[in-house]
Amino acid sequence: MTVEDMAARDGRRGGYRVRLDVFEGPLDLLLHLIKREEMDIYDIPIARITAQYLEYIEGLVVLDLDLASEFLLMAATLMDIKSRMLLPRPAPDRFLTEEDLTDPREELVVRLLEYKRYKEAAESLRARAEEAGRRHSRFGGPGGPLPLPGPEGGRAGSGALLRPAGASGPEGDAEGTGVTLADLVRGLQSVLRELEDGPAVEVGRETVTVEEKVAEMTSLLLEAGEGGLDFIGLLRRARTRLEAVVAFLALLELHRRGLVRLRQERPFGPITVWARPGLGEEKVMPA
Amino acid sequence: MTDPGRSTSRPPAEAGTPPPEKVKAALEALLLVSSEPLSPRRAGRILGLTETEARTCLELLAEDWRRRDGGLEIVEVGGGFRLVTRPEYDEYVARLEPSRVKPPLTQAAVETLAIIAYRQPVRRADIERVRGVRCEGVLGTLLERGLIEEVGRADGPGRPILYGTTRRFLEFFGLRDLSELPPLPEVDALRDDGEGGAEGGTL
Repeated sequence: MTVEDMAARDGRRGGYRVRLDVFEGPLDLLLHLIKREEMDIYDIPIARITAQYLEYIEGLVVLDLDLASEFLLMAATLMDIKSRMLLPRPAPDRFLTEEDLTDPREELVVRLLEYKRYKEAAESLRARAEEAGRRHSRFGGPGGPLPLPGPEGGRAGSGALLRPAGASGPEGDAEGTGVTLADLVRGLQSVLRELEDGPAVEVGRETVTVEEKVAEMTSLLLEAGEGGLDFIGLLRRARTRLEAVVAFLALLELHRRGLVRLRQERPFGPITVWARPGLGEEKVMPA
Repeated sequence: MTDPGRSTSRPPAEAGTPPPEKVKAALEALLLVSSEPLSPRRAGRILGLTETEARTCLELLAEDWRRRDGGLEIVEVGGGFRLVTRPEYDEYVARLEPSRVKPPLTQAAVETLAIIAYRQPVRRADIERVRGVRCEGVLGTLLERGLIEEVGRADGPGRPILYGTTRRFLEFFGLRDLSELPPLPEVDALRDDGEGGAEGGTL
């Protein structure tokens, strides 16, 4: 089963049908949500949009680490704003700092509006390009051919965000373990379902980078040695959804670098992760 | 109608000069062969005309072709004039040579181009701040396609590269020059549909 199949099936269960790769980035996704929910961009209900945003990126299947980190960074920003909005207003007799007086949402709104301007300008440009593209000179037409592949427009060597598992996902494990991307995603989603959002104040400024998670997993896997570790167990160590997603990305990254081995004994069975030769050697002395 | 032979500030022609009644015909010949938009300055230098004379003649020639109502027309894009097929015959041209059909630009590419076009010269960091995503890959593609170029370096740490649009960009979007860019929507006017408006039959 491909990831697309899974997404479709989730959709039928009342999940989210819109694939993230139709969005150009976190700002684009936010604008979409604001429009769909008919929110006032100058008075965004931050708790609501944060919840919606997190729902969207919940099942995020990411092969593009740059893009993933951008979506996650925005999630962290939203949660930060939300937590600041929850803080009690300072007592009126207290000296007010500038920060007290600024709406925590202001910076985000300015960014959204600025992005929207260019997004709309891009639309008129696109119309002009279509018009110009219908005139052809002897020399390949104005501007000549411009094959820009895929929906990502050549974003750093990656293709779509979602890809059919097995086809061109993280290269199928040469050892024929039968673990597909879909299996991994299913695991991630089960963990995400378990993890509720913590109170906003708690998660406000907490960010875990993929590199930090890679380091953490490396030491855990080296410790585990021959026995390996349970994939779900690794993800469950996360305390927040965000952290679980980052952990998942870290695992994909390790697999991409050929530093871990994944094995599943039977369909839908537990997935085990092992260290492969070379894991941890970037930091430790060469073996 | 026009007599380009009377100008006083005519530059020396590179070789002989066509008789005045043949100037338009000569321009037509140049347009067929020119692989790039033919600027009035260059046409003038070749034919021994001033830039203004050459422009006037090119515009008259374009008018001739418009009236002729054939399969071709002369448009002004990217700082010069160009002989092109009329848009209404695009469908048939595409059947003859399918490779002529350009795949539509990706959203990432158009957004990035828009930011560069309106803000040039601009640093990558500025583009990324507006879009909220990294743009390295897109910039690479746009550079490769000749739609943008490095136009210098900013002062400050690392002396970051500054990007600007190229003449090819103008051609690609059917613009004479940057002043023909559709106006950037004002923040207050963001409820506009963003389509049309600047579109017109001027080309």
